[in-house]
Amino acid sequence: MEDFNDIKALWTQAAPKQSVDASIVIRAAKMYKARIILRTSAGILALAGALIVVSLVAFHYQFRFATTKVGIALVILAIVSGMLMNSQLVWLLLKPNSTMDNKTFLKTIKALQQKEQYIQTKFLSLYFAVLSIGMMLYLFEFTYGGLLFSIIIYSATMGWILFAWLYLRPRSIRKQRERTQKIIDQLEGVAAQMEE
Amino acid sequence: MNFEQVYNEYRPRVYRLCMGYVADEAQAEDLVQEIFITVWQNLHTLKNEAYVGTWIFRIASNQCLRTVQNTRKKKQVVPLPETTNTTPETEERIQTLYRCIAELEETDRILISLVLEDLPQAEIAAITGFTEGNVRVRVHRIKERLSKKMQANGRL
Repeated sequence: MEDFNDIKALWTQAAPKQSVDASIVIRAAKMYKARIILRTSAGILALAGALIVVSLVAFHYQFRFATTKVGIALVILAIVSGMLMNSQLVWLLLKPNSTMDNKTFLKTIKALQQKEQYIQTKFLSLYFAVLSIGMMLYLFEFTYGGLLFSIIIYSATMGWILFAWLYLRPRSIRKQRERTQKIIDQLEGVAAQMEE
Repeated sequence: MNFEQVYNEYRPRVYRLCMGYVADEAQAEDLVQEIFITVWQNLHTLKNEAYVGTWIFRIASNQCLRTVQNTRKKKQVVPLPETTNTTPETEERIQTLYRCIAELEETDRILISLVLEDLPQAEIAAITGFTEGNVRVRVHRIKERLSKKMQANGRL
């Protein structure tokens, strides 16, 4: 094909406009690695810090009820797991291997996106559930004995929980789902081009 | 295997693949950098040095395919380069070629760029995951389509 030979000749004349030294790429790669290490360390430190706080509170303060200690532990557990999810630490474990062939790679990243979508949805529900239960248990000791006071406090807490469960949670899930679904749809579009 | 050696040998080829995929100088440079970061991180896992080309083109094409969410949104116009070793007319033809390739479907862009890089069909099959027979059929079709596009742009 004569025309295509011209195209090929043209292609071989094309060269990068910028000359970027290998050392710059190595520096960027090292910085990327350092960022990952920092992010991972921050996640682990947050977890360790939370465990120390829970232990100190549990041993230092003389709560009358065990429910208070359990409540604090659950609230902190929810907060820390939320921090870990936001730090993207979990997603580092799901990083695909980019040295596989295109077809397998597309299948893998699509499966990973679906897994991410599933984890995020389940996690959000679990997060709100644990946080709510933790708050209810924590408040129990302080409202114990005063009926009116406990009704007011529990009504306010229940109101917040209902708002979070019925409005904030579905809204966050919908947003995350839309984002990942869009990527999944686009990946499916490319994967469909590879059907033989 | 030495990273600098691999980088210097494959950077122009990877750059062309990326430019054919996105037809945008800045985006292509970002992609090239990301690709070579991945190469640097994984070079120690490469068992057989004889397959370094296949290995790098796999990383490069996978990285390009991952950008699908960004490239589908906007078709960018390639700005004319500020400095180049080629004549302005050749440079303009090269930019038109990049644009014509970037108008193809995502997998076709990868296939044709690998063909233009003179890779044998068996290697293209190993990079993309297509069978050799399928590569042959597809490449024939893409060559025709690309030639027509270039002719329509008055560049052949």
